[in-house]
Amino acid sequence: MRHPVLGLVVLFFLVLLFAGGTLFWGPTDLSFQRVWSALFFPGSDVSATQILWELRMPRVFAGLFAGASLGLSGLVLQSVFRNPLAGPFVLGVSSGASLGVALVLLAGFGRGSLGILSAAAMGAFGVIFLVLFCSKFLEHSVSLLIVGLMLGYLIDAIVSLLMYFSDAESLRGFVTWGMGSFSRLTLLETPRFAGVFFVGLALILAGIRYLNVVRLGDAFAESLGIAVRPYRLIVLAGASLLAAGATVYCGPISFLGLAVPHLAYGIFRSSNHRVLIPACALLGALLALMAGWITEIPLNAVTSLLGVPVVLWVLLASRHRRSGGVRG
Amino acid sequence: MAEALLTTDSLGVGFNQPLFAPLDFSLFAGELVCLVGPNGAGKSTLFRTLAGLISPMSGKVTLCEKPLEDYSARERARLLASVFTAESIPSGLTVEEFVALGRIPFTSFFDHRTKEDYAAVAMALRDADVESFASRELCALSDGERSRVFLARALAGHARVLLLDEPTAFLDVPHTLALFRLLLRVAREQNIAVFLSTHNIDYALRFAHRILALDGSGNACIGPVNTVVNNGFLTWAEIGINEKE
Repeated sequence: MRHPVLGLVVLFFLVLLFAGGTLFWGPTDLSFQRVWSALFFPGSDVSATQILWELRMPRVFAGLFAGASLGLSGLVLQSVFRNPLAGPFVLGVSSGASLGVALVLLAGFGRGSLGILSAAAMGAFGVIFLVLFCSKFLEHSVSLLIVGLMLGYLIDAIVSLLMYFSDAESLRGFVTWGMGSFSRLTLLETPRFAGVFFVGLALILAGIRYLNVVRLGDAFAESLGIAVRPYRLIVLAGASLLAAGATVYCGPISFLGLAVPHLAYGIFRSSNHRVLIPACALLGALLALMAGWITEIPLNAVTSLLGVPVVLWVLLASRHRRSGGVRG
Repeated sequence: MAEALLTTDSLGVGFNQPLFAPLDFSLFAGELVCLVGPNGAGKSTLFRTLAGLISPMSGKVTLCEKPLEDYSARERARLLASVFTAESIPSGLTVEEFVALGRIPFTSFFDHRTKEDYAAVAMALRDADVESFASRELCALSDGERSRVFLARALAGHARVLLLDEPTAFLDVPHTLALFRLLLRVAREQNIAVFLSTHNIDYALRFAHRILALDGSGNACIGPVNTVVNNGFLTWAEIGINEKE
């Protein structure tokens, strides 16, 4: 794209449009005037105020932050692992975060939302570093995907065991969480989710020069004066934190993180992370808002419908490229 | 006498044991020096040591009158650009974007590009004669085009010393010839030192001001073509003149 800023501005307004749409239209039929007055004169219309501020507003923020988080997390993972099939869900990072959540909710390690958040972040970080370690021994990028999937299955098995041994009360809470939804975030938790998002974003922005050269190999980055190890640690910590935040507040969401970067490459035709980072954040938020629009449909059904064709397309298209594609 | 840009002082390189006898040599501004030697003689290891990517086993390297280890990675990258065989070439990266990566040692924390950066990239594209396909994807280029793009990337950073590890490895005769001519011109016009390794000994003899030869069993020799040949480092058989007799 010749004018990436223009594209980003268009995306920004589309995100605003869908965020507004989510506020004004929902399962309960509220007139424009009632939403308007609830928005700007809260309290004048009690039921509308309640619906708007306690149901719709958190859902908008959940979609915005979760979508942007997963899109950015996917972008960083694809760049650092030089693998177009990487993403927080397929590499088992979301599962790692789930294990953290399960350990708190089911096994009773730690408590409170801060406990859940830090456990999830550690779980996500742990999986990323296991995958990073394994990637040193792998030739083909599809192998990395399989390692990630296997790790995911392993962790899901551990989670199932935890579920088996836990009581009905905590189990119910965990199962509803595990289905993935933008409707469970409360207004109270919204600032925390925002905080996690902005810390993760800051970590990724700090590694922007590294991200721009990492696809050409570590030696290339080093020869340009970029210290690979500290930067890799910083951006992967950012990716873990973003994936963990989205997973804690909205449940494990499939494929969004994988699909978003490909849409960004396709639309902006750029490899510069100065463009790709805002593009993935905005596209992720937009897709999440679109997927969450119809609240009755399970979120993961929509994101899988969207994400799986992207995976297949990347796999099939890469055969025809000379040295890019899956080999990265 | 031209300015010495890079000087080694009894430099020993290798991992567990030195690959060859300690080296003392300088690279001067405006000259093209070729590194020749059989596979495994330590050409790449020497390059990586000079580029500061691995530390020397013994001795030291001086870059622009300051010890190499006293530079930060970023300062070093501003003075010395190296082109290694790329580990991977991602799809979707255009020639211009790739060449612009050569400005990374100068860009701000958030990789912001100034007018100066764009001007340097435009000049590098012109100097390496890759302007005509600047918007094409790197992975779709031929080996000949790609070798010039790698050179353009190194030129974009305005480094004083260029290290190129086997830039002619995949090139046919006309492209090898063109690349050597280009390198010679760049060395002269920009008054920089160009140091490249190659297996094309005939081109090295034709274009290089001096040759650094490694014999693969621990001996090294540097000098003009005559010196290297007289010291028995390049037998005439290797050069290929007496092949048929």
